[in-house]
Amino acid sequence: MNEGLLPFGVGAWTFIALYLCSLLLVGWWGYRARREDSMKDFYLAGSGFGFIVLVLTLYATQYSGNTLFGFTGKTYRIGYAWTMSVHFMTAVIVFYLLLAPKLQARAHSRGFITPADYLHDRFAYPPLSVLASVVMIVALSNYLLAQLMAMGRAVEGLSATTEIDVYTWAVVGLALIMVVYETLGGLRAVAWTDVLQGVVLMIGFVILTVLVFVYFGGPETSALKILAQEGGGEKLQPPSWAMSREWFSYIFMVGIGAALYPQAIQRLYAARGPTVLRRSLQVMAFLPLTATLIAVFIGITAVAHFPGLEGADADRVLTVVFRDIQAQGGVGYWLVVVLFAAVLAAIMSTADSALLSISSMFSSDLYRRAAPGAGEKSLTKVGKASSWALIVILVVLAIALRHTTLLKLLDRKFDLLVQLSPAFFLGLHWSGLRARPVFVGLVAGLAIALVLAFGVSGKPWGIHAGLYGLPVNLVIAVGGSLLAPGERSAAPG
Amino acid sequence: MKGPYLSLKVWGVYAVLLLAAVPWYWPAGDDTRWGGVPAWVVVAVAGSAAVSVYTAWLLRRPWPSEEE
Repeated sequence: MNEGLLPFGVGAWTFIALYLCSLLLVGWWGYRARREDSMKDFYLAGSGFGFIVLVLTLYATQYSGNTLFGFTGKTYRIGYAWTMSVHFMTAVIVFYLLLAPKLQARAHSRGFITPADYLHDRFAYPPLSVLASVVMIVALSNYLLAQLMAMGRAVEGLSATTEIDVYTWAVVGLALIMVVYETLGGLRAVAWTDVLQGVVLMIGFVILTVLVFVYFGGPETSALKILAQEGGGEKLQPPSWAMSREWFSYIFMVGIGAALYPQAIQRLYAARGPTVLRRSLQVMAFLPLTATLIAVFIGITAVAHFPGLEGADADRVLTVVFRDIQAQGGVGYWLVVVLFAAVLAAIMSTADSALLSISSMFSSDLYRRAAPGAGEKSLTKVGKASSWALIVILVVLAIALRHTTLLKLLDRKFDLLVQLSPAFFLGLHWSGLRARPVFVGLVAGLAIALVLAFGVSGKPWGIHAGLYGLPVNLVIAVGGSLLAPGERSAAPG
Repeated sequence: MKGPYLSLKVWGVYAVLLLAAVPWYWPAGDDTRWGGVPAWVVVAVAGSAAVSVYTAWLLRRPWPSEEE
């Protein structure tokens, strides 16, 4: 993979090092700006974010290493059919319509820190809140692992040395920087670095689009080259019925699942008010057309110009594109340096948000329950310690599992998260929904999703395993609530 | 408090847009291209853009919590 690469020179690595140091500096500012040693101040940045910070932190958190590497890689494998990614990222905002207005209002009036705080407030049934937290921690750890692996691949793809294991050092080094600024400044540091990373990422997408057009030609050039390849025309074909089923499945699976990302829910909590949140979502509705669609066009360009990559190498096809641009001239070299910073920005801004969210859930939802007398200061300390412990475990796993493809990891996370949708979506709008049926439904949905995903196939008949578990989950939650009139009913909002 | 987007009309519009945006109905083997991009991709992206516009339009009205 590293053969024939153009390595970054001293100037380029200095630029990248300065960028990484600026993240640490922002982390330090976040630490200096803290008002008190409380959970709310550390995990929700006290009084919350205004419009610009909220849009950029939502953007940088949602568009990740998966968008850049996984999505270009998936387009490389299946062709234009991955246009479905534009649809499913838009679907996330559509599902927020059902979630954001009521959840944000309730979070502000009750002082929620984690998603499980809502469940506890709504259902007052500890087994449900604890299981939901465990599901979210597992799903998010999976996500964080994928981001760490993407970091390693990004650096490995642009380094020419064979004397050291670049992947391992990149994962360790970047994870260390991230955990330092995260534990220094909490959500303030994470969101402020997101602002920096979001801007770098936006600039990166613009540069990438221009460069690809200039160096490789437009879509017509790509289409003609693809048609000239043996069997290449399939990647331009409309989806078969089987692919269309997968397309619908992705829209519901990612649309619902990503709306329930704990780190995204915590950003709804951290919005300064409903107006700021509503306006941020208006902007977010259009961002898939800029970010995800560009990833699809890059993937198609790669199919045309760099055919023949398979497996984990296909995930790294973006670095192959970068290398080629670098090889063609001086300006290209420096633009690739900026793009590389954008890649790191995309990955780290998603990973740090996931890490902070897991830390808050471990401390607030699990540790607080085990040690009910613990004060705010001690809970925050436990949260920080859990960040360090988790990052060590995941770095070891990222090194051990380096040859797994990114999309496989991405899919399993949503199988789990969608099972929480009855408790959140239905629980907010229907006061008749009861705790025990929701809990039993969640257990049944998780069992079906996991058995199908790991025992049968990730997507039986082209539909994600989680979407087989969800209807059963929903029938139990709704049916059980209608048949159990004696149980306590809580006001939905 | 009733959710601001809980209406059959809103989700009916989304259902129509979804069915139009996913090109399940596109004839296999069609290789029409517009500006080098397969025509079915242009339609699918236009469908997604319509979902974005409709969502932003729905979000123009203040939420009940803004009026309290």
